[in-house]
Amino acid sequence: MDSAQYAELFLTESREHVSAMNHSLLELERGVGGDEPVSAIFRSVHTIKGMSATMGYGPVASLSHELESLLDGVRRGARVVDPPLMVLLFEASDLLERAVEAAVDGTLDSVDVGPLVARLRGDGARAPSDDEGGSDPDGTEWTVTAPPGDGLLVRVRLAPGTPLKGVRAYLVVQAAGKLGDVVACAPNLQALQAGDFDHDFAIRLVLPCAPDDVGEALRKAGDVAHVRVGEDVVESAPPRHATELTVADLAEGIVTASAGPADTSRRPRSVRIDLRRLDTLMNLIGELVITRGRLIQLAAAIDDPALHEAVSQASRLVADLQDEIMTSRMVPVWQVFDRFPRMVRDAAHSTNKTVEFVIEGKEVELDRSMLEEVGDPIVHLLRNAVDHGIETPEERLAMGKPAAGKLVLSATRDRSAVAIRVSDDGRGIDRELVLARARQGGLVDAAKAELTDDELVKIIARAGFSTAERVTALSGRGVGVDAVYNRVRSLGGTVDIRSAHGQGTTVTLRLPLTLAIVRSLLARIGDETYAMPMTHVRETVELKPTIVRNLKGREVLMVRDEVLPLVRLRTLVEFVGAAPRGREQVIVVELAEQRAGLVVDALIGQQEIVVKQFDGVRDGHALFSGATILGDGAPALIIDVSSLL
Amino acid sequence: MIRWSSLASSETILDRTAAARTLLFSAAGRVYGCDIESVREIIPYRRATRLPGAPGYVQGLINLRGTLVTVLDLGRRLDASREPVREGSIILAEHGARVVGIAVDEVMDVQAITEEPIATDAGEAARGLVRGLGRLDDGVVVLVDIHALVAHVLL
Repeated sequence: MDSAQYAELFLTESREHVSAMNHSLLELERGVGGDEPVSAIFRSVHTIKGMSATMGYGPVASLSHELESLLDGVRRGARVVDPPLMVLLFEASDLLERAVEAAVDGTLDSVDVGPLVARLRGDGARAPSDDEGGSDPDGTEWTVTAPPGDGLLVRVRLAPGTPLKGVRAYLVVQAAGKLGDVVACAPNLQALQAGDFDHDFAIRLVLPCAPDDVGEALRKAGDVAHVRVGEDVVESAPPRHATELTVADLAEGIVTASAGPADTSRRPRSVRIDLRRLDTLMNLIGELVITRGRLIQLAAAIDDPALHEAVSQASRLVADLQDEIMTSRMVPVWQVFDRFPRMVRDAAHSTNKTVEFVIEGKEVELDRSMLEEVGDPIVHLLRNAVDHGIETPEERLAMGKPAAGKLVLSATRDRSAVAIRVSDDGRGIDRELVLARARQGGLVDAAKAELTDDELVKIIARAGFSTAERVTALSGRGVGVDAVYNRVRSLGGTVDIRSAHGQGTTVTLRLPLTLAIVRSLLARIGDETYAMPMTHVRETVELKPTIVRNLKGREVLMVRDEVLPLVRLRTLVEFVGAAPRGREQVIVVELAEQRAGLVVDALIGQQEIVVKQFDGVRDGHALFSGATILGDGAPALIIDVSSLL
Repeated sequence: MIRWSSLASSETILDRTAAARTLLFSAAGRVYGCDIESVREIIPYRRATRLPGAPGYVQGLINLRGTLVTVLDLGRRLDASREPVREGSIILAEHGARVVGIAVDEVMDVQAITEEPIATDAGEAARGLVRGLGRLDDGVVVLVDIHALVAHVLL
């Protein structure tokens, strides 16, 4: 494992800790959870400190060190939790996050932690909290029982995710051996070398001299998150597992619960897998699905019941395998949702609003890549709700509403889709205002008196449309709703907005469970096949001469009462070859409220396709969003509808 | 010289022996060589799916066991007036994490060749695609810098 992979692990772990930290900061601010939030923040900071020190990210380590010291003061009651402290802690959390990202990018020089470190230090009530001391900040996390015997007890915890733990532990023991005699260790040396321990182990060391530099010396072995020298303080360090796990138990996978705290025993057993490996699996299964199609085709031509039986069995297994792999790519939405409470809080603060933010359905799962894509649209919606939806406390009280606005983000799942809903009880969308703006912009008939919900969505989803009277730092630049709309559409989802004036707005995003497999329409130009995602296909019509008009030198299509621009795929892809035989077809494509007619030679049919990316070529067209592999093994390009409109 | 035409008919992973440094192949009537270290595999020529809008020396996409690979026509890259390769082999070269196919007429041999700085043919060299010349018993080969070729074409 090279340093880049360590850096990646560091980044993943640190992000999780920063996220957890933000969560606890919000609890601390609300004053819920007693001492637990402070302890939780402390643990996160402490872990980041250890990891960053190991990685040699000095500024990150020093920032977290100061933060840790301050938190220790809070924990001991020497520093009261007040608004200035919260501001400082939030700032520190943000800076820590930036510093972590910068450290991994190699741009740590651009992040100056100096001023904040000074402020943290200057906040007073600082108490020296050194790792190598009597009281241990997270004594509860030591899991092994101290080995009996004489000598100085030294507890060592390796950084989470340390690869080859056994080797690392062995190096630590060796480093200890250079200082003095290692007389005992727990677990025993074989288990240690085999990596058969949680993340910590303990040794007893007989030293010829004072134990001053033990911690420092052991840390040099690398991947050491924490070293503690000295006997356990009995009440603060109960071993987490009263029962020791043996290799045999692990091998049989029968250890489902230990006598430890409830939260650890309920945690499902899992392993970390490199995301690229999951992507590879997904690709392979896509491949297998394609091959299955081919196999079924070939078998159909052969009259052999046994062959048919085998093919259909293989086919079922492939379907099951596909389900399993899709499921393994699913992640709970909290992985993205957890950063929103902090964001909503900041947005509310900066607009002087009081917002009660609730997240429901955190555990609902969505395909990993889909979840990553949908994060930004949700941020837009939440910001819109805080900025434009929810009124100031004064306005709300005057209207007979509670002073605090309610903002709910929920995720629910049905058979084939996940619905993500952002709902507020604010002022709602002013239909009159929207209608007036729409009339001004010529978007609707001047005589139109009322807007239906669907029309409302279509109007506010238009690029640049905004009813906000002023532009704020958060939103109101008219880039919100249309960006959300287009992003969700490009993911194959739909957007629905329900709003009652004075009562609030609910925006629902419905998303397919996965991005990788898309229902598409296949069409032909000469001997070339192209795919078009069905989410963008409104209808198909035959290209009769009667429906084509020439408008100012450009071809247009008359479909019912609509005039649509006509795009010939042959021209677009610069096809040279025989003219089409028979009557051409038109695919009416749509994106948001825009439509166009795309002329193709012939339609092949609908099919589930596996989307694959390919390396872009310089000077190439931006016409394609990816490619897929057809039943005969040949690649086919997927047309990016947004490039047509 | 060992003819490798038989190899071209099956998917083969090359044996990277210490001495075998340069892969010799012909494209559009000339012999070229490239560093074997960047070659991952050689497969028989197959028709690629055309990539509309791409330059003429990009043949398109092929499906290599589920991965889409862009195939370039080396001969046409060096001289746009040449006929495109329509049979022969595709050399799959690694460029960083990416794999690129290079369509050639024939894969010929692997030889240890000493590179000599290029004196003539400045047009090709100027584009940074030619690394130098190599001397054979019966002539010279143009040594192509695969990485430069790929970096120049792909985004």
